[in-house]
Amino acid sequence: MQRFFSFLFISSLLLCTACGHEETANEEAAFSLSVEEVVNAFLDDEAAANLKYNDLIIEVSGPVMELNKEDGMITGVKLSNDEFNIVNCTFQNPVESTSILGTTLKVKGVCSGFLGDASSMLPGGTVELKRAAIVN
Amino acid sequence: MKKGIIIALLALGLGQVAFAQDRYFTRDGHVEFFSETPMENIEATNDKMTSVVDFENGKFEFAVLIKSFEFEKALMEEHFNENYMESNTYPKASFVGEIEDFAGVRNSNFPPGVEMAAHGKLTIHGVTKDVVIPATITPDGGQYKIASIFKVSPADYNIEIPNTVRDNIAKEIKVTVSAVIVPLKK
Repeated sequence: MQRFFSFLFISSLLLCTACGHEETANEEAAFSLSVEEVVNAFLDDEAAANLKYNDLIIEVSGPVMELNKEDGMITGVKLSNDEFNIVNCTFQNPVESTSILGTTLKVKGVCSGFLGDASSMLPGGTVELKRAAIVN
Repeated sequence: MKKGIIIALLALGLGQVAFAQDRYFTRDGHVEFFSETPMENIEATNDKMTSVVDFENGKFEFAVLIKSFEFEKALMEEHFNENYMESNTYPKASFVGEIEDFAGVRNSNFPPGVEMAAHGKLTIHGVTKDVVIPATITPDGGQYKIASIFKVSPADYNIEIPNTVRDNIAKEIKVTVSAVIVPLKK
């Protein structure tokens, strides 16, 4: 009996180790915000925003400032109103190239945090979303 | 008096233009690391590295969020963040430094294959070390391709690897950085 449970435990562990990531498109977002709201939350208090948003799926809406493309597919988008305070999204699954540049898009993805430092040569800051998916 | 103010404002404006034109940047740089052992190979990628090179003085910096590294396996990504990198406590890794003899290489328009040395401070897991990182810069139209490959030892940055998985993680991790940098317009 004990051997059976050991086998079961090790099998589950191995299966779990091989697990991929959940499909973000099928998951509920914990928060829904505009680009300004989420960027300002990190600019105002980065530590508090890290605690509130990191590792959670958040839904962000804003104008598409830039597309990232690879082999003709869109692999990510940058949402921003001002070029320097940005939400940078990498898609979980690349999408067919469409005319979304300049339009307002809603994207959800796993929040990784905020990259920006007053001492940096690069002005502004970026909230990063990984494994993102377009909502509409 | 009025003329003086206008000249001062113009000078300030020209200064801003010069400042902006000297810097090239990206927010989409690629960083990957690769750990190779007989037990298993582990790799992760991050396509959101920010990087800036100041073409006036050769100052060079890059930064990544640790949580933006993506692994194929969800559990491996979780262990990397929670157990090894402690990314809630140390969310970023960065390099701040200066490329040696940058003016000379720049004035020769970055001859192909010339490897430069960037001296600076690499911060990982809250530990900052003086390092020298090799880098190449290649002109590509109005932009530049930058590339760098270097090795990092987890032990140097107080990254503790539990005994149970010690044989699965390399003593030295290969880090590959590549990016296309474009003029900073602000």
